[in-house]
Amino acid sequence: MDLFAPFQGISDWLVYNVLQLEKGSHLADSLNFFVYDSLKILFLLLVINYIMAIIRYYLPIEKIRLFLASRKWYGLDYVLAASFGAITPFCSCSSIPFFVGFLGTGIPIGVTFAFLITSPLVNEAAVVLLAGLFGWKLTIVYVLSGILLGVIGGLILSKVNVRKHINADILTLSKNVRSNIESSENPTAKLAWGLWWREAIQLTRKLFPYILIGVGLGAAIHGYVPQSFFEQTLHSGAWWTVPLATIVAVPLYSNAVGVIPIMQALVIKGVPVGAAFAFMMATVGLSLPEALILKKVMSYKLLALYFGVVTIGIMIIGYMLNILF
Amino acid sequence: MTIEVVGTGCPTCKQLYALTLRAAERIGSETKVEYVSEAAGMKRLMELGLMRSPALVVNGKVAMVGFEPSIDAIKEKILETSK
Repeated sequence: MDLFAPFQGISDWLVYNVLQLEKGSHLADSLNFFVYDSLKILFLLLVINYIMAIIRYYLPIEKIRLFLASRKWYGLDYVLAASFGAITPFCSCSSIPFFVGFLGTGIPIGVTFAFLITSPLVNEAAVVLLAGLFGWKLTIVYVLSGILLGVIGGLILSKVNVRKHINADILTLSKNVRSNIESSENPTAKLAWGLWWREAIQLTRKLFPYILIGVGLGAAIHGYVPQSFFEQTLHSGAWWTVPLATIVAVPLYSNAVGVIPIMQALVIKGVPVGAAFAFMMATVGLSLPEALILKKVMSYKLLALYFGVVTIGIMIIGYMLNILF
Repeated sequence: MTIEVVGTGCPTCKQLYALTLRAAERIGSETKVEYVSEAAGMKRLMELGLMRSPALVVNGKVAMVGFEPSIDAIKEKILETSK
């Protein structure tokens, strides 16, 4: 049975019975799509945010750092850092304490970058939307490529001279980090169902306006843009679609959850999957506000190298998705 | 009680400080709110073993990490930690 059948029922009832719109008209199509997608995503988000609140409670970034620094990992730390990046949200606000904390505990610069690259690209809200709108297969491929990009990007950036390219103040501060410190908000073993629930609702409420706008625009495209509108110009054989989508997206900054519903509508109308994904990844993974804050941590040269590596990685993933899907 | 808002100078940190001042007003009795920012804020974060900013610290104990838009929720966290 389709888990989401009740949501389709509700939106059919609302659009065709309550609003008395004619089945098959542009307006009815768009509205039906809008109500159904919004309900489905709202439900999925609540569930995943609840699960993530539990994970974050037991595994805050302070603990991850201690875990990564606890022993020699022989390269596995890149994979671990990128995977942790996928489940931990990262606000560029915390860039400075993040670098000081990681480097100060003796975690290599490459591993630090592995975390930093994957964190914005893969997050649970994006995963839910991708799974709901594009299916599980594409979502899994996306998550794995996001982690792989973090690992490879981290390995490339591990070659930089830390002393030369990381701000001297950051390095001085990181010398004073006590690595054995236990965070004082260390969770006790007790379960905090109420706390997780509050957090899940709060997070969902914060994301929902983006989703409504995204789904709304997506629904408008769905109902009004003629089928295969983009096919003549943007078919996946056109090699330039991926780089163009990436470059256009870098100065834009948005939440993944706002972009994904629009992407889906565009893909249905013939935009190549790889170009749509490259656009989304560049919007969330590379942004000017982030660059401004990271500038306080590293030299222009390293910052440019970091953006360069991620941009190229995004394009490669874009081409790969074009071939696979 | 002593309430510290520890940040790195980011906009969210300043915002949390403003909200914490109002939360402290609601609590009323004997509260002192300090804003620890920039280099001093960084040092304090490291002392506390934290890697995210802003942080809300009550009587030397971490009450909350990250931002919270609700004054009442901030007030509740302060009271909970000061107990």
